[in-house]
Amino acid sequence: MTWTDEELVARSRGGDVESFNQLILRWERPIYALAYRVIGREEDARDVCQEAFLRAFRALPGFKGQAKFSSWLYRITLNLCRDWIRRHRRAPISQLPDGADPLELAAERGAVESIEDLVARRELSAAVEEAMTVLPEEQRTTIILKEYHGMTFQEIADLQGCPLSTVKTRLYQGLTVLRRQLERNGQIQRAVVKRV
Amino acid sequence: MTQNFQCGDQAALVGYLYDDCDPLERDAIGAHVIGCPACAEELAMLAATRRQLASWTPPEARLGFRITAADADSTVVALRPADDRGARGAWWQQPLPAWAQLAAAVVIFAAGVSLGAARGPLQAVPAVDLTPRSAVQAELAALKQRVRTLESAPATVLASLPDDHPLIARVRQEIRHEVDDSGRRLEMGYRRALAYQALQLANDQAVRQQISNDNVEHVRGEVDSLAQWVMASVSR
Repeated sequence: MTWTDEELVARSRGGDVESFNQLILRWERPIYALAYRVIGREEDARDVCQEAFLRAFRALPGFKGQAKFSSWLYRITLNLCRDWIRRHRRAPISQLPDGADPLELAAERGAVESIEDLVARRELSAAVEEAMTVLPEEQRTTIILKEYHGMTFQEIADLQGCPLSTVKTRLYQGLTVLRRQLERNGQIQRAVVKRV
Repeated sequence: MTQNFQCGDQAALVGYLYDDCDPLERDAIGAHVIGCPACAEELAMLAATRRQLASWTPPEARLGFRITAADADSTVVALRPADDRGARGAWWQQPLPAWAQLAAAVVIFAAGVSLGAARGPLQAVPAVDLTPRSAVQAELAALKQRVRTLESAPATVLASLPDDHPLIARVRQEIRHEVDDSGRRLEMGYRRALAYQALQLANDQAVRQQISNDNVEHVRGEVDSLAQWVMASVSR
């Protein structure tokens, strides 16, 4: 039987540790992905992810279900990311791969994807990651929450504590800067040629 | 709710891009974009950027955090990856840290040195010959005999075979090949020596020619100067 988040939270609050472990299992990938995209470092993102669940577990008695569990967890994670950025006093560092090993790539690629396509995808992924580091934290977080976590503008506004229009403006400005960055790297043009 | 879209309203365009807007607003923007190339181009560029963003995937991480009942009861809750917890055996199965391994090595070495010092210097142990001398000699003699037999075996075996035996034919063929090879090697050596001699002769000839040319030139020079001297003398 599959429990909803709310049911698992209720059971966890009742002392069922396994229910909380189910919540961890369900949300650890998105939370890790969020932390990684915001701070840009694999090990630190893992630590932030672990710390987020730890804090959520400790704070569970105080969680009354006023928001969705996922939104609450996202808020904890974003606060931790913000602390990390403040502590390191710098923009996220993008961990770009030094070089692509063709054998690794060959093992990684899908059944229909050629090595050339895979290399292009990896290059593009690295270019996007690099371009994201140029954005101010608020714009970057807004894009991440909207693009990769499918949140509504209202949910993002609630999380960031700002008006809905600000969220949309941040998103527009962020996308525009990204577009220029990617154009500078030749990624947009390459993608257009590839589609043709 | 905005039902009348104003050209250049970026926030509204973003709402339309993500389909996160009021249905009436979406219809209004959709109708405007059809007739406005600028907004259509803007939307196309934003959509292209979104497509690029889709390629960004975080690296795979080993997660699998878990909280155990023991952790939950304790005041300090620690999360560890589940597979780490599962793989972690008893304390005696864990690898020792480097400092502990070094300390153990030092203790063992010190114990060995102390034990050695307590026993005093080592005394030479007399060698004991456990094998009777006659037995060794007999074994050596047997071994020599066996080697001799093996050395003479091919000739003995070949002599006992008939002329049309395949082994004889094979040996003859090998010998023929060997002779042919030797002949080829000799011929090659002879040709090489001839070529070398010819080269030397040619060099000598060239040197001789050069010398004779030089001599001719020298004599011609002498004659010329003599002729000039004669002419000069005559004119005087």
